[in-house]
Amino acid sequence: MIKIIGMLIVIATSAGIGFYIPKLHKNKIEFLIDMRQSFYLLKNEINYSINTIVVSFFNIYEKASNQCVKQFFYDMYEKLQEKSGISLKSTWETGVNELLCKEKINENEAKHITSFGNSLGYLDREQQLKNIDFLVEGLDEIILMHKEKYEKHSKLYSRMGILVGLMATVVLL
Amino acid sequence: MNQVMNFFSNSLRERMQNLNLEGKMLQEIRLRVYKPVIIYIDNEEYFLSVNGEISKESISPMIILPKDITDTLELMSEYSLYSYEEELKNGYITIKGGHRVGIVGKVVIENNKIKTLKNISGLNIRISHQMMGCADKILIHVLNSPSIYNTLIVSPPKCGKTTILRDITRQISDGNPEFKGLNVSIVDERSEIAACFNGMPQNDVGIRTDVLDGCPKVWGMRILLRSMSPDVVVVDEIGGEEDAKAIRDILNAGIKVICSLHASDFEDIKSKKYVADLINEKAFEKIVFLSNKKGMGTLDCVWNIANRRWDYKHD
Repeated sequence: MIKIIGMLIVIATSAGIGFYIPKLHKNKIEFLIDMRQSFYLLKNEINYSINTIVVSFFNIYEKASNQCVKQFFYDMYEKLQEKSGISLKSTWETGVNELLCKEKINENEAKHITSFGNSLGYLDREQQLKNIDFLVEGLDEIILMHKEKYEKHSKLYSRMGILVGLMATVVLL
Repeated sequence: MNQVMNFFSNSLRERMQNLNLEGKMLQEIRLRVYKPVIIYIDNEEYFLSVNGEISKESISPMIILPKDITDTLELMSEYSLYSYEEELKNGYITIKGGHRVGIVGKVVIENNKIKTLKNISGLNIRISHQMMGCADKILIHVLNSPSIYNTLIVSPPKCGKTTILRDITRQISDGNPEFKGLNVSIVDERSEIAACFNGMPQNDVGIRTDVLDGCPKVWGMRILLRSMSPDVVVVDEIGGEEDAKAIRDILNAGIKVICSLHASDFEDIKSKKYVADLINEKAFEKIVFLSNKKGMGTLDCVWNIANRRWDYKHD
């Protein structure tokens, strides 16, 4: 009886891990899509409402649906509101790094989002919009890459999870 | 002082935070690249030292670096210089608190028009001071209960025309026990009267006042005429042909106007053809002349156009 329970636990754990890894991937894709959406909002804030960065960040915080994205823009808004004398570039860099640590984004992806802060706010409106378009294009590529990876590996991971569980029970028996 | 402190770069902040200006009137702070910081207090010029003290002599002055200008401008524009594109073309921005920041640098021209300013090399921060009640003496010449006289306020530069105009606006809008407040609309082309920041007036311009900020006078007057049904329209610094046409439209609709004009006397007014035409047509009922004989905003004289006599004349 104990053996059967042990076998089931091993299989369930292994299958769980197999399903959990694709879920992580899916969450990351959803996060990136929400992040991209927030930059579309930023584009509208700059282009149509001609709001300042600080006001735009607050408005994005109010409109965003992803909790992580919401928190990121709210933190940025709070830091910029303080007018501590730290440049926008540094504030953006710190904020993005904190966020990306949570979301486990790789170095290249992080670099792409961080570099956006270099010219944020200072250039004219036209350049701001081009800058956002460039960032969004990059995010599109990253999202596409993750989607392909997800479709390719999600079934593999879940099946492997079950198989590894079964193999482990056979070996343990 | 504390209000503007947050807009300065860290190095400037460190030096300025211990300045004690209690009871003094801070007027201007001038920042120029590789030049000392100059501060104007009570009409006197002072230099800011590296130790954070001010003196009339330039002893170990704090020298402004390009980064100080960039950082200060970043903070003043709320990290969003792009949102001040239109103002930048005119060479200034209005920041929170209604303070005006004059900006100089390299002008970029495109299609015979100013596109933007780059390589910014100097800032002139003019501290806004609303002087409540400064128009008390003038108001009795403007009010004609239950309405007002169409009034032209005339003075040379730096005699407090806009400050007086702002206080008249506030008092007409708020009203008092003897005078019921009126709906006033301001066309604030250069954000000088209400000093709007993010659309919010930073100066008290009264409870019944609507402000059309950053809008060219001619368009603004016509928009307000159609949209806000004001009792009074207030406009700063008129002079052009189109201004005169728009004022006629306003008067034809039965709305009162208060305008200001850059001029020193009648002769000067006559040289401004379109304003002189308005006066000849009796578009205005009163002309208020200001000077700085006894300080900014001194009431010099009031000319009653209908009666062709002086209602008031300063000794």
